[in-house]
Amino acid sequence: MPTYPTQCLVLSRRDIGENDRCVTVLTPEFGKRNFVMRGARRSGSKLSGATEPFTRLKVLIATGKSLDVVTQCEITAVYSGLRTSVADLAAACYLCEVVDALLHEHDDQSAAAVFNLMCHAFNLMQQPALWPDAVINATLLRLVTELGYGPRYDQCSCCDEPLDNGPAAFSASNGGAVCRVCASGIKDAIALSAEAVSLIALLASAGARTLTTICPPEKQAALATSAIHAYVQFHAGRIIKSAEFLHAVRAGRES
Amino acid sequence: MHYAKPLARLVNELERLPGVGPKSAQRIAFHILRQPQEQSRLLAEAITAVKENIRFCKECSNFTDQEICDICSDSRRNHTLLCVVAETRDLIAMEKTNEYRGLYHVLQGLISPVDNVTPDLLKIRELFPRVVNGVEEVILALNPTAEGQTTALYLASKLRPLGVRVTQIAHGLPAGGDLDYADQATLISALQWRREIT
Repeated sequence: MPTYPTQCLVLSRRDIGENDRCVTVLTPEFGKRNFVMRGARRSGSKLSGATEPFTRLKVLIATGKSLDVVTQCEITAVYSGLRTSVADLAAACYLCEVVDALLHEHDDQSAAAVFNLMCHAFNLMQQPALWPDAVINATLLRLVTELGYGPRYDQCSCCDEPLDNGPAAFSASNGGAVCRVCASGIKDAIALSAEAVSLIALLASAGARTLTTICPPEKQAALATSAIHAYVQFHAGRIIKSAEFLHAVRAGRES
Repeated sequence: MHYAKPLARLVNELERLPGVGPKSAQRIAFHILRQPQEQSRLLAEAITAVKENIRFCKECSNFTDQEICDICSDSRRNHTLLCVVAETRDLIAMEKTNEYRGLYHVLQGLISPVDNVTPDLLKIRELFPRVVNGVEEVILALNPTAEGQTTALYLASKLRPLGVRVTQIAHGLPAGGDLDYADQATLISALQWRREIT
């Protein structure tokens, strides 16, 4: 059975058979893949810790008939800081679900960039931040941009006219900011101030220091967050189930 | 389908069971077919009886055939200690230790945002009236997984304002385990949950 080594980030896992688990992982070389971890559910199995979501691994994979099998595994990062609050766990779950929804199996074109982006996001999420959603929003924007769905902020994404008077709304189906004239005819347009659109543009390009120190007004932050989440949801093509729980936690209903 | 209709129906029904694939379903179906009529009747009766008679205990949400389960109605147990577990099988595992003599609360699952399992779908609401009714300590005995940790943190945040002591079982190396084979996550939690030897 031929083998190959790779790094990976665990996105999700599900139980199969009596003692095995199937993990959905993100690898820098091969994109999203499903691997089987035999015996991972046995207590005392050295693989059980490696099947946890948001764990970074170094693995040796044996090519199988249908699914590849993990033969050797070493945990390289556990991001334990993410497991200390419900909000951080919910946010990490949300990011993993978005990546799982946006990436197709064996699509390796942007794999390395997305892998690095996720590892960087998990590192940043462990640091204290004035606006905790900044890192998540910035990661989502960079993720969609990396996959070729990046939103437009400088021109109306509907009529291509420059947004001289400032944008009026943000539309996921049209691909970003839209002008006042076009906004009225778009069903999914979310009314946004020019400041909120500037905030989205800033998040898309800001460095790590900015992301942990940025603290926009509450209303702007909420508008930008809902626009970004709607944008990602549209491109994911399915409901991101963990989004509702994350919003409830952020709103203080569940924390 | 090459089976006779009743047999095909049995194979189809068995295939719905967790961990039972088409081959296993076929094997079980033929085993049932070959065994004496009386044994098959007992199996069918047991399945019907479990569905008709088993319900949630009004106190702890454990499966029981009475209104209040044996554990909750046992006056010899420590009623100031409450152990929260995810599933009934976790309760059985705890009982097998013969170490714990308090009461239980079974959540019937863990919070899993990815699977759409939110707190309102679990037996969490039923926990709070019990806690304010003379409980001094709540022990969270949940799996050391992302779902288990999410549930534990959520419960801790809701229980602490009620003025009760909230503890969590230790996470770390299994009995008979090898330190050099332990993964990073396990070792980190073993270090975090270390205690002084007295």
